[in-house]
Amino acid sequence: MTKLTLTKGKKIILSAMLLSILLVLSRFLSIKSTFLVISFSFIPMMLAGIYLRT
Amino acid sequence: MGFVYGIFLYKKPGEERKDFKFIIQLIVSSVIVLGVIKILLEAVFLNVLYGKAYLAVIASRFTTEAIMLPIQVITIFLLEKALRPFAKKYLYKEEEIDIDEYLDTFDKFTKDPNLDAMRYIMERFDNPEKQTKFIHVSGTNGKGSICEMLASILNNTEYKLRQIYISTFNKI
Repeated sequence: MTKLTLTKGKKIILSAMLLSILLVLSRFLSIKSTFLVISFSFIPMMLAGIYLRT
Repeated sequence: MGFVYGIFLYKKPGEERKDFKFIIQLIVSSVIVLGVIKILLEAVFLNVLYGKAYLAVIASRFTTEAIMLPIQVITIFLLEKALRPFAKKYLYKEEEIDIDEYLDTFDKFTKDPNLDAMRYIMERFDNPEKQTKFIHVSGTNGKGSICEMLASILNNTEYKLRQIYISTFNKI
């Protein structure tokens, strides 16, 4: 039998990648006005939720 | 925000993801994040910053979040589906486990005990349980002796008897 696991090193690498994507998406690739901010920063956040738990 | 997503969306590696349930999870988590956290919390912050003027901002914010909700759900649903083979290939590592460990991953009882699995497997075998007759012997002590006595009685009549031994893998 085989079981799928996510190793600790890969977890750290994945979270670092997602964090860098999150920073780029939320700081540079977002539409900003004084109050309103539209960005796609939800993508890495939700992917982190999907793969890494809290 | 990430905390809420983690609670609702996480699945153990290798676990099967059902489309309908996943969409429900996505909608619930997105509503909580966009509705409760973003709107309410940012209203509080804006109140601290600008005083009473925040009420005017909230209305426009509400519409944007309402637009973002379906976009968010659809994007993540499609993205997760597209990323699934890659995640399986590069992210997760296959680990060998022995049979005892594998059997230990099952619980003794399910959350909602029913006979669906048994009925399914019996249908696959053309329902052999409906073609034979059974005598049930249950209780605390004395099952084995009663069974032996019944067997010896029935073996002397015209009934054919098949003895079935059930061995379990339960650890004591």
